[in-house]
Amino acid sequence: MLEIKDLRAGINGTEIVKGISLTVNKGEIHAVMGPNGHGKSTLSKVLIGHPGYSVLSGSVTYGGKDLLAMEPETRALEGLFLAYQYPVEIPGVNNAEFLRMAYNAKLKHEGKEQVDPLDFEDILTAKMDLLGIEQKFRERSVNDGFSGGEKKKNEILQMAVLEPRLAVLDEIDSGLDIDALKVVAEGVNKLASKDNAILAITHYPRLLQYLKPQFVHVLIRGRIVRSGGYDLAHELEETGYDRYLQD
Amino acid sequence: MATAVQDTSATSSRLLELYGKFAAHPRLAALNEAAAKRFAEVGIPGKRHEMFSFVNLRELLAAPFEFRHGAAKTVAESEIRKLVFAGCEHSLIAMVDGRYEPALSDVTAHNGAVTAQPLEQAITTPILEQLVKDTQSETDVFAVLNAMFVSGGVLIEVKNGADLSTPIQILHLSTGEGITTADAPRVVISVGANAAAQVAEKFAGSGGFLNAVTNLSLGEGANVQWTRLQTDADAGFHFSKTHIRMARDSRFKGVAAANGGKLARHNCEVRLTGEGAELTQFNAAVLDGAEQSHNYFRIHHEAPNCVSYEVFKHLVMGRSAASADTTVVVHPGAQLTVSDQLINNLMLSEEARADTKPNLMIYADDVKCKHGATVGRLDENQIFYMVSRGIPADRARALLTAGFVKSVLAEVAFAPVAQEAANLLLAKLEKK
Repeated sequence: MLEIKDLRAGINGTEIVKGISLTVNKGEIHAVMGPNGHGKSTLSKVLIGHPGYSVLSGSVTYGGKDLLAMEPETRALEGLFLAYQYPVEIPGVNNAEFLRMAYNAKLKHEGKEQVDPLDFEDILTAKMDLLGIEQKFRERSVNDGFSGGEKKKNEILQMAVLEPRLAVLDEIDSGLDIDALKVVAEGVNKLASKDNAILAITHYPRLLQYLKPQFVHVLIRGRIVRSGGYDLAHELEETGYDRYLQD
Repeated sequence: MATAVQDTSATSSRLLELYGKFAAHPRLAALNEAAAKRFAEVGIPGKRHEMFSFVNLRELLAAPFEFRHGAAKTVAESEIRKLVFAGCEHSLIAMVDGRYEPALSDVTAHNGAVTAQPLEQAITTPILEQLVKDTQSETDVFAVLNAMFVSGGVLIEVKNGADLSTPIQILHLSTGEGITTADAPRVVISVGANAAAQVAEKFAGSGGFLNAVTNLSLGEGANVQWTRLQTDADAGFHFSKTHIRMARDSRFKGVAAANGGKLARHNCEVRLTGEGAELTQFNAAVLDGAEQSHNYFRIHHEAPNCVSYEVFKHLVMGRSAASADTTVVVHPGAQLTVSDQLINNLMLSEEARADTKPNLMIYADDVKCKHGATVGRLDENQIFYMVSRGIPADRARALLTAGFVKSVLAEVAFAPVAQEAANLLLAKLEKK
């Protein structure tokens, strides 16, 4: 589904991602772990096509197509989803309306008929019930005045509504207390299926206790220095990143 | 500058000459006279007058307008009906060409809990004294001019303890064209102790010079929600002053939606005179072309434990201009005051203008007062966030632009007014 080959990328002329290769297949959950400032968020921003980040070399193929040649909007419409580390607050834009607009944009892209507000109500209610998200999320402005935990829950709600083929979770666990972390992680687990894939980017191993990824990669100084199974997450919990940083 | 002085003195002389010919109503003569005296003191503002920093008065002051008196031009009831909010058919005060029109007004919805009478007939000595007193200390020459030429105002009273289920609509309709006519409507409204009332004020003019003053007083524990829609024709000059006097534990929540005009300015002076009074005022303007909308707010905290919260959201496009000149004054002894002034400007064109001047004058030592102002364009991070969910960038921009003012419009409680305010302002964005 996703094939990253020798990707180099950065911001403002500084190379941060220095040659990453990674393959993610349908039905898989991958975790990219590493200390702060080593390229984890740059990788996620490059995948979604954020204009502040530039690709220096390498390729990314997504669903058989050249991802880097696609506009950010198209990437989203093709089923790529980024759960942001810092979701943006949008005062004055109703959350339900925003979700419906995104949902309809996807239906239109797929050549399907768009839904009216009433039908979307039902779709949204079902997703909120699935994730155990409070009804108040519907009427509030997008992330406006939300607590850190609420913002992350709202990211997962968007993921549930848009049903992405590949979800990139950028530090979805940062700033969450243990209860909020459980809600978010359980939500992701409910949405994971054999037809989609998840790439979770995180600093701390605790999220992975809930997500149980089959593949774990260690990202240090812009490179994947080690890949392994779920056991690697355990190992990192005990030893930390120090031994990789000393090399 | 010599020319500016000459211009203002010519205007002053012209207005004093008009006043000399003006036949005051005997019961309002004391007010007219106090205003004429005050006019001599205040004078016509020159180019750099502090109260009009962002407002260019030259064209208006050079215009040969005359205040209209006597019988207004007949307006068909059907014309009025078109401007009435659904549900307010029997809760309507019609001010036509600056004069209260009893025949077109109707407050029977309130079964006697609300009365409306011609000001000159119903005015009492204490009310007249208060109006005279306010005029003697008035600093805004336009409010002074209103008092100088007022002749057909209305006195609205909401009885103590009344709980109105229907908003009182105050409709200002001016039929003049060009700035040869000027109207000076005066609305005096008192909301009794522990009464709860909604007021929906609508300005619909065809393009003359409207110079309105409203005096609102809230009794102890009164609760007022006031919506103001400024929809005068683009060619018009709209000047208005609202005096709000708030007694102990009263609550006022205002939402103003401004469409702008050739020159629209709202001066709002609030006096929180009783402990525990709370004022909230939201203001939104969406301006395009050469439209202008200016706000001049002075909130006086005169008693302890009062709260005032002001929000301004000005969206400017084309060559339009908006300003918010706001001051909160915390008087000596007004301890535990809480106040906030927030001014946000969204600029969607290079030629548009947005000025802000939030001020605080604090003469008490235990207060929490804030102010903040932003001037900006649409936030690229917000746009990208939406685009990364598959929403096209132009849709994202439209949604964000509308969202900027929607947060204010969401504060309007009465649905027909909320709908009209949304139609008025959001329609302008959809045209883009």
